Amino acid sequence: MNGYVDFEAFVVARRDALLRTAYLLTGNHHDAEDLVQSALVKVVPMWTRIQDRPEPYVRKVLVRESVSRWRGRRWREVTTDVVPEATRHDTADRADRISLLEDLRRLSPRQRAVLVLRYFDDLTEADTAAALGISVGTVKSHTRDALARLRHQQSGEEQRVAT
Amino acid sequence: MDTLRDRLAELADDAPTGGEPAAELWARGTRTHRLRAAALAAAVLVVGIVSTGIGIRLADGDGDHSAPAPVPASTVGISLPIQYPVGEDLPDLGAAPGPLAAIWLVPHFGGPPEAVGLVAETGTFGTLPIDLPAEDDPDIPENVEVALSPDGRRIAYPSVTSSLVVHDLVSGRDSSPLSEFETRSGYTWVDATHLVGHVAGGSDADGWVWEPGTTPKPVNPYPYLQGYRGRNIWVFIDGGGPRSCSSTVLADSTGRVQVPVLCDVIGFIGSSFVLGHWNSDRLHGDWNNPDDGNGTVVALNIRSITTHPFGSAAPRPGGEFDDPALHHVVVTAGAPTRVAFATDLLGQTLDTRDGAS
Repeated sequence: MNGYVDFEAFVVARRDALLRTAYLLTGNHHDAEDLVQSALVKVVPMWTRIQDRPEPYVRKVLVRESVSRWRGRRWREVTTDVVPEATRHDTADRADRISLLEDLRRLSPRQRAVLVLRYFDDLTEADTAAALGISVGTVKSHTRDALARLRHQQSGEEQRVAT
Repeated sequence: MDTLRDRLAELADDAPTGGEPAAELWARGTRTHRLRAAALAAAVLVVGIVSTGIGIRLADGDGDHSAPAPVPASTVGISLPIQYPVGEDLPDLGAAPGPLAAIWLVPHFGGPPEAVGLVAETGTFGTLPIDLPAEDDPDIPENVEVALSPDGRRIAYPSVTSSLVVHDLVSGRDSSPLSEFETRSGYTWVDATHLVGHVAGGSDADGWVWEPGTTPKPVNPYPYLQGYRGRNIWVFIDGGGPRSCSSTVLADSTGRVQVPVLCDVIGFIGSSFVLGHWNSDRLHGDWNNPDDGNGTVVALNIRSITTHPFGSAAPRPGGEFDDPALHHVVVTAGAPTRVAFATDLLGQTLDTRDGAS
């Protein structure tokens, strides 16, 4: 059980934060839970090497797993043009969340990961590149493309609402 | 107006909380680690039994009526275990080495990766003279990947000048779509001649299907990739013996399922240290250090599958199925992340070796 006490403390303290990132990466509760658990299981064999500063490593595993899972399991994902209908009790904030969730789902997994790491986890471009195993230049281009795509999607949404 | 940062933070408030106890995660992590070590030992044990060599004559185009130009019948010269030539310079296989049993990329960080192939007919390892782009090329939106057709005859990859090249390993000829065609990297062969991928800059539903020599057709790729799902299952050898395997958690249109499978370990190629590939479990590894990889490539012949609802030990009613494609699955256990197998070619080899399988 060498290292287990530290592992348990880390899980208790940081799991919910990891789940927040995972939810943005996957857009799905079940997948977010599965992704975080998978990442935590994967780091166990390396725990004694990373326990002094585990979070960057765990997040690296998390985000790379999210991209590689999407690649291997594209078949299971189903896209739809139908956004879930908001109930009368839904607030404007709720509608905005659903809209953002749908917009994120339309990005490529790597574009989505770059946005989440840069604008939610507040990583630098260099740290984002290291986490994803890509160059800073690729981070920049993904960020630019993803933001443009989000803007395009939002403007299209607004036009539909206006008409 | 809220910034994107604010909106993401609000969206994250919908995230789930909690999960399995830390003790359970720890136990699973240590168990997985042990199983991977046991996988190598199990493979060696079984290989000792079956390592008399294969030498199998391939059948012509079994059931694949869509293939217009089947690979000529040939002898597969792969015997198990295959000994990777440790420390030796690999020969250049040339443009037309014949069908490959497997191909993978040896990363050279900051430069183009090197493609290494295993020639099915001779069992020879060697390098392929293809002009792959550098991994960190900002103009390449995804990592470099090479896809190998199920019959081992064609490879698809991004080159330095085109987002998609298909190279015929028998004729030595290259094919590319028209110059204005742009695709994401990462393609899938859905049969011996048809390739499916995603349009660059498009959504996940914006795809294409292409048969070299024709014009790519825009399609929703999901129906194609759904039919391909059997080959995407990754299986790990379980601790119950060489006939017992377990898969990762999968999902289909009916929801998440766990898929226990029964399989035979046929053998392995490479070894636990000579492949030297980066592995997602070894993020601190040195990509260029051949002693730092832990990939073991294991061939498995899947026998049967039972699906379980996620989190349940009870089988899903009617969840047992027998997918013919799964008999042909050749998977990796703790292996390099980017090995591509000629699944049909190896599947035919396994079937022939097993007789009436």
